[in-house]
Formats: sequence, C-alpha cells, structure tokens
Amino acid sequence: MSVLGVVMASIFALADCNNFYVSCERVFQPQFMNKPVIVLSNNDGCVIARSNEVKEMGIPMGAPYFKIKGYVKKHSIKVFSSNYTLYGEMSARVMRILRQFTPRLEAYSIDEAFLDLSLMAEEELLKYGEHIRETILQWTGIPVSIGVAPTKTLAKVANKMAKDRKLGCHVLMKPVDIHCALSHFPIKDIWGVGPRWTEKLNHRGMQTALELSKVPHTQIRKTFNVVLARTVVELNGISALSLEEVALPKKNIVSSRSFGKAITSFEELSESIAFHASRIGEKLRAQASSARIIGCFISTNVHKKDDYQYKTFHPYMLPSPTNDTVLLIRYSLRVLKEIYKEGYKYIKAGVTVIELIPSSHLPLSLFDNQKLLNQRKTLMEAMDHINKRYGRGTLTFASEGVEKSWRMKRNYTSPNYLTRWDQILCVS
Amino acid sequence: MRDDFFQDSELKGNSYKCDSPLVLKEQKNLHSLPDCTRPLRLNPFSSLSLPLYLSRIEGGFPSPADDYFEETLDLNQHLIKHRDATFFVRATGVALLDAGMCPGDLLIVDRALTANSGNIIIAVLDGELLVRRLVYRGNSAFLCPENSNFSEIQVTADRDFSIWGVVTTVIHSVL
Repeated sequence: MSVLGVVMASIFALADCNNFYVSCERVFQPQFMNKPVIVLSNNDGCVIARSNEVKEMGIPMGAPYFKIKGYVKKHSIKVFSSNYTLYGEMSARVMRILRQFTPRLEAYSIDEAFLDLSLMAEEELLKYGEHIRETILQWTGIPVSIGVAPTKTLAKVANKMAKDRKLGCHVLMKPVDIHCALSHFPIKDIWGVGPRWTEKLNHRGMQTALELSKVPHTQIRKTFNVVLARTVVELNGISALSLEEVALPKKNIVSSRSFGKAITSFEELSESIAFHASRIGEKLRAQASSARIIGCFISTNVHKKDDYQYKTFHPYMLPSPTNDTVLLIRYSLRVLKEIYKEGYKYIKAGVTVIELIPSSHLPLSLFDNQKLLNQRKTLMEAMDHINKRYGRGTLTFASEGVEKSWRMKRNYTSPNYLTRWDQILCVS
Repeated sequence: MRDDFFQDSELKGNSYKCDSPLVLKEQKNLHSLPDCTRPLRLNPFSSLSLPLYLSRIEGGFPSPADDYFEETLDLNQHLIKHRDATFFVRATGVALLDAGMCPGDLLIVDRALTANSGNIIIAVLDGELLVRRLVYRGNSAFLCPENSNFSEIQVTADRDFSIWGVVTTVIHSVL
C-alpha cells in the first residue's frame, strides 16, 4: 500500500474461530464443553468438524460417519448434524464484532477473517489482539485465535502458532521472530501450498518455510507459478496479497444434494431438480443476477461397485437470461427428461447455472411478454419475502414435491436458536 | 400546541402523513398485513428505520410538523444495546417467580455486560444453564432464587461456573 510514494508498513491480523461449528453448538449446550463432539456434513455423511478431544482420539476430518458409528457410541462422542442456519448467524455476529476493531475487514470464510491493523503501533498489537479475542469470547461464546504479522501468509503462520501453543494471540512482526518461526514451520502448512507442491519442494531439498523464503521469487515464478512466487514474497514480509473487502457476486451457482436413499423414478428425481432450481432462483435474485445457461446433473453412487453406474451433466442455453423460478424449473426439468435413464439408482442430483449477468443488464427481447415478466417478478419477490420471514420452504412450487422422500438425513440437528421463536434457548 | 397537532394529524391522515419507509415499502409491494395484526418482532436484525422523508406532499405544501419530526419508537433500539451480544431465552422454571419471572417469559440476555452483584444472570454451573440472581458476599458468589421453594447455591471452587449473560429485560405476555 503506497501513499504519496511512501510505502506504509502493512499489518494483518488473521482471526480464526476455533472448531467453529463445534463451538457454536457448545454455546447453547454448554454441557458439551471439554467433551468430545463432532459435526456431520449434509446427509449425516461425514465428519466436518471435530472438537479438540476428538482430534486427539485420532478421528480424521472427513471420516464417513457410518464407519465410526461404533467408536462414537463407545466413547460417548456427541454428534450434531450441521446446522448452517445457526452457524451463519453466529458467523455474522463474529464478523460484525470484528468490524469494530478495524475499518478494513475481509471475511475470508465462515469462520476466518483478515483485519487490517496497519494503523496500530507495533507494541500495542498483542494487547489489542487479546482484547479482540476476549470480546468475541464474551459476546458470543466463540473462542478465536489471532495471528498478527506483516503479511497475510505470515499472519496465517502466526495464527497456527497461536493455536498450537494454546495462546489467544500471537504476534510475528520482528524479523528475528519471523525467522525463528519459519525455521520450524513445515512447508506443507504454508497457506496456499498443497500436497503436490510440497512434494516438489521437498524433492528439491526444502522442508521448512524458511528454506522456501530464501529462494528468489523470480525463480519460483519460473519453476512453479506466480501464486507460489507471491507466497514467497509474503514469507519475506512484503505484502503481495491485499485485503479483499467486497465479495464479488458469484459467477456460477450450484445447488445439489446427495439423497438420503437412492432414487430410481423420474418423478422423484424431478422433485429434487425442481427444488434445486428453486433454490438457485432465490440465490440469483438475492444477488440481482440472471442466468444464461442452466444445467442438470444426476449421478449414481460410484462407491457402490456392484451397481450400474451412470453419471451425466447437460447444459442448456436459456431462450433469454432469467432468474424466474418458474422458467428455471421448466427448463431444468426439460433437461432432466433428456438425460434421465431408467433402471439406475441415483444418489445425487443437482442444478447449476452459469454465465450470470446482472439483472439490470437484461436485454429486451422481442418475444418476451413484458406484462407477464413484471407479474412474475412481483410473484417472485413476494415468495422470497414470505420465505425469508416465515422460514425457508414456507412457500414452494408444487413440482418440488410434498413428501420429499429424497430429503437428506439430518438426525442430530440442534435447534435454530437464533432464527426461530419456537426454538430459542430454554433455561429454567 | 405541538402535541395537539400530532394527535390530530395521526387521526386525520390526509394532508399530513408521517410515513416511515417501512409503511411506504409495504404499500408498494402488496404483501403486508395491516398494522394492527402485525406481530411485534423483537428481531435484533430488523430495524424500523428513520423515515426517508417526512411527509407525503399531496396537498403540495410542506407540513409545519416537519421541523418537529422525531424517530418513531423502536422497541429493538430501546431494549437491545449490544445487538451482536444479545440473545433471546425462554424462561421455563419458577425459581425467580417472586422477582416477576414466570414460565414462558421471554428474556433478553446481553453477554456484553459485566455482571454485578444483584443482577439476574444466565449462569452455567457444571455444564447446566440456569437463571438466578447473582450475589457477591465477601469473596464468594451465590446464585440466589426468588422463590421460597428454592435454595441458594454457593459457587465453590470445585464447581465449574461461568456467566453466560446478564438478563436485562423480562417480557411477560398477558395475552
């Protein structure tokens, strides 16, 4: 960041919630503090969050639930189905609180954010970081680890050190501290370095982040690519990745789910496709986009080696760009009719839209009935409003089905403490 | 004179209209319920916000009340000080009956406040949530009920204790 030719030293903090999904559940069910807890993915498929106690037991991230069910029961591990409604609300709160501490914030994921602390004096950073952590812990019950450093990549290093050493906040600003930290930091743990590059770098005799940082970034750019070169620059304390404060509207949207049980009939599949098309309609309208192309995919269970396999995706160019659910359903079902084959056990279906354009840029078509379009728009707006107010799924299209036998399994969901009056926390 | 004017204009509703943007929006979008049946929502994320403009200039003259305009009363603003630290809790027990807390009451709990002796708090004691009055006597903390059928609990060192939040308001519905 340069002001009138003077380069201002950058300071980034990475605030990262510890075991976020587990922590969210524990706020409202404190009897599970310090107890082993796991959170399962959609359809209660696999483990997507583990408490520290579970990590120590050796259960890996992504472990399929059916495989560890026995172990879970034996060790009284508490199981939750993912409750994204709850996690989203808690995340929004944490982000808003973080915003109080800096004018510039990048919400990087549901539980991580980068803060720009460039205007702070170096000696105040640790105290400030600890203050941020305490505030979030008190206000929301979510424990957060904070790493502070001159670059985003180094802030990630500092953050990991804070977690490993069970510190609330760790500051890595002095060159001597950075040097020491990087000499003990394995390459595989560097932000942005995946297993492929790790192997390649290990091959070239590099094991630690320090060794990587000493390679000239121009050389890295030639042998790898610009992304790794930027990482090297960042490891040396020079900021090459700026804060991205504005989330860009999505360029494509996918809605898909695995089924609770295999589906064979066209009718059931079309219910699922209609549901996904409807969801996509909502998302498109929420970001004021319209889609040019819609596509469907359906798939059998590739893990069931004995079953006949069929997996396909088919895109379809819409007559004119739209975010009207009625049209999205109509065309996605048309695609489904083309690709559906009888006799297969489908385990997953989804709809995707690509080539999104802002709705304000819609070209007028000779063939569109403007009055109908306006009526539809009002209908969509009314639906979105009601669904937002009374809960998702209050109003649905008949084609989405009523029974919905393909709905995903969620046997262990916690209540929606923050979004439903009938599910708020009860205390005696 | 100002108070009279306000009263009259609310009843009349012709040349002077105090239109909040909420009311305007609903009229435009056709999916509102009439005011009297709309439930009062204690949603920290909703806001009955400031009016965009003060009067609908139907008659063509600016209302003399424009200079005296005040924000409409907003319960969210009034009751919730730290929106991101505020949670709603349903009281289910009778431990604080004599303090006016009945089963079914809605509690507004603020986690940002520091609990002082005498405050009603949500406490976590050995993993269990309970609502009691926090009282400090000397070096000890006590969780006190307001109901002769309950006894106070002394928070001893061997017990796992933390303050979940401070109860700021008890909302008791009479309908």
